[in-house]
Amino acid sequence: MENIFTEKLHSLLFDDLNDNIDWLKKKSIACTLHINTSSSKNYGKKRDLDVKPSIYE
Amino acid sequence: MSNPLFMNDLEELRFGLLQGQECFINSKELKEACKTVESYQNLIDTFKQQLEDFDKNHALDTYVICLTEHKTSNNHGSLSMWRGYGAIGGGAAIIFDTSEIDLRDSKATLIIDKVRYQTDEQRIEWIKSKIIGLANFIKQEPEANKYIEDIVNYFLLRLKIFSLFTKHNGFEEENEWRVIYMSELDTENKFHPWFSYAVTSRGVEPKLKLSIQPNTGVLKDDVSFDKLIDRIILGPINSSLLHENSVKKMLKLLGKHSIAQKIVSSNIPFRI
Repeated sequence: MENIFTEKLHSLLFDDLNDNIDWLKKKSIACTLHINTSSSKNYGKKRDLDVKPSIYE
Repeated sequence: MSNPLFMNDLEELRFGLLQGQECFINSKELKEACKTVESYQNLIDTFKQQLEDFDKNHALDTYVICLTEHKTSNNHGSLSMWRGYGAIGGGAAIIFDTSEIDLRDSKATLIIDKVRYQTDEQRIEWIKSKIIGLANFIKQEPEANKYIEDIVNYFLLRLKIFSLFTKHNGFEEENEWRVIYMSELDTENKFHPWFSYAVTSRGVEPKLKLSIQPNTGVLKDDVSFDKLIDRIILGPINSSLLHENSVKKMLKLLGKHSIAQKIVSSNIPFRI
């Protein structure tokens, strides 16, 4: 349970994190996940695209 | 979702935590703010203890998914992203509808935010300014000594979030957004059933196989994967009508009829 002290502490350290929330609400589309679907070793195999994005492979 | 220790962002995370540790332990402002030697020593000991606890119990269960900002009107994607992350133009890009994300719950276990691009000097400056702010807070609050655990806990959490959402300014054109899971925030172990692994070319890696369902704390109550997807762009190398129709046919055969209607092809004239 937060008390006044921890509320103030939280505000001091975390308030700058909320800058982007309005941006997400206003725009209906934000993000692209680029995936690699062309690797020949995966032909014919079911791929779990959620689990293995190629963005940092 | 992947563990940042296994990604090429390892240096970014390590940089933030190491610099944060050094700045915190050597801060003359914190030393002055604590007033007594005992109180200062308690602050430093608590910091080291909590950092060790993160290292032992939570570092391996920190997960990240990396995305890039996308303009609504853009149906082609960005050539640099295709080249870097989309199988050199032969992959696909999933566009997520962020209006399906519900951020009303400020204590959500997942954190979504935009990546800030900064030089090393700017990052160190940010850390120092937060520490000075913290020292002023300790100085002004007569009961601060009672809350050393909370002070350190909140500062370390902010430092970890800063480290995970900050990258070298050389990556600026990526316009990256991230979704982060930190096990220390998951006090009810809601995400533990999704802890998993993947065997990759680099060996076994921890993974969080997040299920798209309402109780994640950031998705709407009637969320589904179909609703979350706004469209899928096929890369410029695989964007012929033949490819597009093949992908649509595949999705229909998989029972994903609504997603099949959301396929578009990039017409960037890029050829290898």
